[in-house]
Amino acid sequence: MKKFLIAIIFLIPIIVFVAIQGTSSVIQAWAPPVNAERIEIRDEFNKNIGNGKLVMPRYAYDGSDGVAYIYINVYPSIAFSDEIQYTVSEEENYRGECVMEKVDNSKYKITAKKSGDVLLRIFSATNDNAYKMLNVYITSEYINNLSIYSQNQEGSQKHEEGAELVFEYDMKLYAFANPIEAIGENVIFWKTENEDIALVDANGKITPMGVGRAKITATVKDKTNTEHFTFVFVNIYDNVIFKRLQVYLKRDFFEKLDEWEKEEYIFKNLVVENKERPIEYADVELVENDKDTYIYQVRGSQIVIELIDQDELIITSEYLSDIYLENGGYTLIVNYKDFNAKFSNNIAYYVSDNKILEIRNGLIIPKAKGVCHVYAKDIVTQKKTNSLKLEVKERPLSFQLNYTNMDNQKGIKQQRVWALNWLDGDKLKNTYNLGIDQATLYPKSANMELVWQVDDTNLAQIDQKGNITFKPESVGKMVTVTATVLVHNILTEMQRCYTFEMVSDPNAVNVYSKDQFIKAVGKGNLDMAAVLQSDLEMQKEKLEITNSIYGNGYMIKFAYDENSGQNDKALAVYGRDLSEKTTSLIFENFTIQCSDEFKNGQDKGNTIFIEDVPIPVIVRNIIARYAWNAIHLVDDKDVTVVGSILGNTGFAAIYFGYSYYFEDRPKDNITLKNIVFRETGCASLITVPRSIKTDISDVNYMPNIIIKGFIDSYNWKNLEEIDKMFRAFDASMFGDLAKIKTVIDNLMSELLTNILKDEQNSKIIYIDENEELWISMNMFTLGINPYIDSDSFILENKDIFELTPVYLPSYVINTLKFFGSKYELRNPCYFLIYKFDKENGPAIKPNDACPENEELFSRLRG
Amino acid sequence: MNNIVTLLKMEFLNRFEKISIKGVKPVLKILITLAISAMFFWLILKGSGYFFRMFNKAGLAYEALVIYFTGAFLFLLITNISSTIKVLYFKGDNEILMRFPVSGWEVFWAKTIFLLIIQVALTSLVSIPLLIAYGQQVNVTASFYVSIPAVILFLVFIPFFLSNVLAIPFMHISNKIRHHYSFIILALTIVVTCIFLIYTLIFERIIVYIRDQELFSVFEDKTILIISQAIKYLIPTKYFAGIMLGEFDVTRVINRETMVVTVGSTRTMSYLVLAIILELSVIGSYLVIKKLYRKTLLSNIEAEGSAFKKHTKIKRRSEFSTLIYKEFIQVFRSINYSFQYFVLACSMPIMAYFCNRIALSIGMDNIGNKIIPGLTLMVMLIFNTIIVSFSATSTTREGSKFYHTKVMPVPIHKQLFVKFVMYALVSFLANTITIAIIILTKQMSTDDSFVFMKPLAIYLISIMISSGLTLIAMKMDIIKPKIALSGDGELTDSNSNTTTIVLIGFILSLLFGVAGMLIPYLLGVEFEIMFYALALFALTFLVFSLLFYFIRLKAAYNKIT
Repeated sequence: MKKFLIAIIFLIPIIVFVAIQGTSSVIQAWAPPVNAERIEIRDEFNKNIGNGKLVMPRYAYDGSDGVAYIYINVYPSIAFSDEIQYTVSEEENYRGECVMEKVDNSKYKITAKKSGDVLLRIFSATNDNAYKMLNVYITSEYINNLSIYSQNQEGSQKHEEGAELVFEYDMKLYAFANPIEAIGENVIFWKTENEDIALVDANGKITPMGVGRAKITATVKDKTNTEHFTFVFVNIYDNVIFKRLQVYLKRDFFEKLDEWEKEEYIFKNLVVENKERPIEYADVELVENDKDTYIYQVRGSQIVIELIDQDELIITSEYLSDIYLENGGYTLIVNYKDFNAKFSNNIAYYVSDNKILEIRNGLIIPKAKGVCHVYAKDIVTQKKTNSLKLEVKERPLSFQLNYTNMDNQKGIKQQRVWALNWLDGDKLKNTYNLGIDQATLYPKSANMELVWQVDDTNLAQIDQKGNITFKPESVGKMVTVTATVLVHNILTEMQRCYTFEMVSDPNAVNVYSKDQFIKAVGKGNLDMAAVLQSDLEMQKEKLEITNSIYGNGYMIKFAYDENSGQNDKALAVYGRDLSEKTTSLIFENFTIQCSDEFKNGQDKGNTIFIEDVPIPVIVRNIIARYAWNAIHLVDDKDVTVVGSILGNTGFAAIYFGYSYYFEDRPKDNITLKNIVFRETGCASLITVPRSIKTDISDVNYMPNIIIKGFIDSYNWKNLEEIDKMFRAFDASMFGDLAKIKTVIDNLMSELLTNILKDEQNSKIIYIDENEELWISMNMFTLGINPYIDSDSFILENKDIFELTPVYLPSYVINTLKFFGSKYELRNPCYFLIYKFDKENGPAIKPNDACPENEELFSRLRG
Repeated sequence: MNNIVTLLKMEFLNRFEKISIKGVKPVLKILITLAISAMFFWLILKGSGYFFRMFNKAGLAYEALVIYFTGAFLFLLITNISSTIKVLYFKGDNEILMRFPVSGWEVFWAKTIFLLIIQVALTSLVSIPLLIAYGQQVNVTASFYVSIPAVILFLVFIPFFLSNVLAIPFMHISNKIRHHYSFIILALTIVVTCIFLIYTLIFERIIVYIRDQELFSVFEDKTILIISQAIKYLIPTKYFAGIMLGEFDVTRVINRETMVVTVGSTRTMSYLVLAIILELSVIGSYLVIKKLYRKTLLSNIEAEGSAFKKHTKIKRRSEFSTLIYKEFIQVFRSINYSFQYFVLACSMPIMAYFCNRIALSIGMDNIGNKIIPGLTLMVMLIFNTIIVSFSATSTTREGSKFYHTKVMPVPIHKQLFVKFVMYALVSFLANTITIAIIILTKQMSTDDSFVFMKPLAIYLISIMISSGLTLIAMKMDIIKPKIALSGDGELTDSNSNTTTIVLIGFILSLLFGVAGMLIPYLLGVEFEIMFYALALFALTFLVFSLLFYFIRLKAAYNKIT
């Protein structure tokens, strides 16, 4: 028995797994199509690299283009399409090139075309917001170019090949290769073509020898053993007098010389040769001297002679303090302090930590990151140099900032904006730290020394920790921040930028959480516009707000449960709560829902409720769904809904409840442009009077409804669904007909069904391959008692829509009167129905999936 | 010799009954047994194929074989110790055999040969498909297949002889602790839970491996290094792998670098080591048996049946309390029954939690969040079935004391009610702890908040189904009891009632679970409506169970003679 039970226990996970697989297959076959929610990217080693990096070679071993394989999974698995698309950043700083193509199932091949950085935005074809960024760094063993930088006390500068430089004391040259990893263990060699004009040491330090022009060349081999070189011309003008500005000489040598001999010595050994304006002995004059120091002057330039009693061995390349792994090599140059001393060949080098670096014949071979001390010793004289501290660093090859400009492609608007302010507890600040994304750093242990800059200091300032302070002048403008990698205090070409597009409302604040959101726009709080920088989990909040929302493509997610109902409002704006300084309201570029899915949210809440607002309201590029109504408008003066996806709601996409327009009252305007209507319980647009007055007949309540652009309607209804449409109406709006609402529902359903079956209406009826009848329910306006002014409907494209009045047949009127209605009931209801080409059928058919992809978003943006 | 053969035949007859090919039923039984064996063979071949392929992908082919041999070795050692103790010392027929004109040695050899034959057969049945699967997945030479018989023989004989050495000490230990029932239950719970946990983790890795189309190693670099290091200490089982593979090169990718590593030990060394171990265990076994077998056998027969002595005061209790106490003690003081019931009930919360965790991870990736309630319900019902299966032997377990139940002055309904209460109480506790863990670990939450209503709803359905199944199981056992009158009276073999109730329970679990997963997607209804529907079905099932139980209950009970 025990064995039997143990065997059964071990079977349990197998049974569960098989059940899940079976269920998954059934759901995939029969359930409505599901969009992708997220994607996952893994490399060949099964490491998750989504929002991370991939390093691959430019060439394969056989010389063909390098390839790497990644695996992209779309979740959930039952999403109706696992198709993937990608875009490539076109910013200048991304110099690499690659292409991506599908191999099979979830396997994709990335082929390198050019070395350097590439930033990919990889996303699901069915849901643009299900995306991941991938930073591909294409390494190369071939140096594409070698550049010379010069550095002096004032700064550093990059030079083109053959550039003319003007010599300054302390000038040092650097050579940087691109790509840097192509150097490997090789060393950059410096050479001067004109030793009589200038000498260059192994590290690129220039010593003037004569007035003139010297060609200085940097040469290096890359990993393919190809030699590369570049050169500059260093001009030494006649204002350069001395080879050095300070020299050490042994006392017993120099003091033995008489004055003339001293001057002669300086003239012969320390003065640069000037053929055009030769320097004479007489030009050398002693300015001052003391026991240890002599200062001589020639043509206004001075040299200091320091006398030393004992010679010392010194490290003359003391300008080396930080060195980089695989950066072209460094040389430790050792010599005696005495200018006359000959270079010794008997030098031994000592390193405090051999794991960090080695020195062979002066050549420093860095091995690992770290700090160590080095010194040299003349084996013959036993003289030791001072100790020099060297820090070995690793140069970054690739990195990203915490935001990339491709991250700005969010939501329908494919835009990301920023407010001037951030919340710091209860206070406001306008400082923000951009930072770098450590997951993208390559190599992982690279030393990140960055120089942060902004493009316009009138708009913002930035410190060297990356803290940006935005100025009020930046409102409505763009501020570009650049982070440049610093190597040897030289600004390299490794640079990343991010552009902050500042929202044009100065009274806006960036919010990252529900609490901050409420603090910003919630009634009685800061009364500032909220710019979302993160999804918001609103739970069961019912929030009254007083200002605009810039969504940046994020989601405002409510989680209403059985305790919420049709009258609840997720975000409610009341005209009475608005301050005088608010001149318009904008709700743009976000997704808002009252529940996590259609069927759960369809009888709960209104996502956006706007009542009695006298100022213009723009609802732009939003996705509102999973609620009772997506947008509910009540007596608002001027509302524009544009470029939005509305629906998947229990009742309507937009529900208007407007008051009667008596003679004097000017009509309000509602403009609809480029809208996608998803499935709703009733029509997509429903208009009813704000409250039905049974003693008022024949008075219009319809504001002007202006329909422009396109309307993509997925809201098809068959006979069965039409029957259910009207039951959702609240009985209270029927006045004293409320008690016979069921009768009215049935009558209206019957009416519509008859319309559906009427052959005369065949142009608006779609018959699918199963011979089922469908009609697209775009709008329903309630007539009967109130009057609907048909001139209120201003259709830009009358070819697409049919405005159909539906008069109540006499038997319906009589029935209603029989049940107690006291008025004539002569006014028609109106339906706005979608027309289509009978031969080809509608562009959007019943049960078609609505992919939220860039193609649709682009159309919505108009 | 004849006596040994005769005794051997008797052992086979006792265990397997006479095999007859006359008549449809016996032939059918043989065919079904063969079919099940073939299916078992195929399952092992397939399952182990995935297992070895997964390890091979990570460069752990050698380690996988060592892990198998270690598991098999430990399993055989434990079962051999248990079998040895049971067959050689505790078997009820020992009393009878000692009175026959056969020597103790003849009894010993007959039983020993019997055990060996069974072990060789079972080990071959499991190992051969497994090793064939290994050979299919890993690049092995012909000597791998040639060494299979040798490995099986080593695998059987070494544990066998070791078990003979260890059986007597184990018996003494078990005699010492056999009355520490709480400790035994706790220890067994921990062991069962740990084994299940390891199994589910491996299973999850296999699923990930299959789902990723077998492209990746499912082991992290760190895990590969830990496994490869740990294997070195598994003596003597690594030498079994040594016999089959010798020194073996494997390719591993660590920190994205590919390296070839030589693992294993030479065949010569492996044979030598195992031969030495075998020899030592034979010698040890001989010495132990020679000196101690008869003595232990006789002392055990005297001691058999009495676990411990305890002087207690006579307490006056109500009928209900007395009966429930008796039910509890009957299970509590039997290691067999404790394992079948209490241990599994105690393990259920942890096992259900881990099983659910893995299922949810697979389910949500495949389908989405809406699957959570249905899947959790299915997992809970499945584990409930395991616990409930014990009640399918509620009458059978009375054994030779069954007749007491008929003559005692307590109505049958009350006696059965007491049994039901005990099963319901344990099931209730197990379910309550399970659901508490699910709630506290936010396992059913999609946004990391505490969720109460859904788990409680599932809990309610589980309780109803569990109660219904318990009633059905009890009634089935009353209708067709399998009372054991010989031996020590304990029910150790599985019976058809248990199998049937497990089957019914699994079918119900799948029906409810799959319905719970499908309804939100296909019908688009909310959890509430789905819950009401499933609760209604559960209630209907409970009502049906009650009717099934109560109708003609007394008549069925009285029919048992």
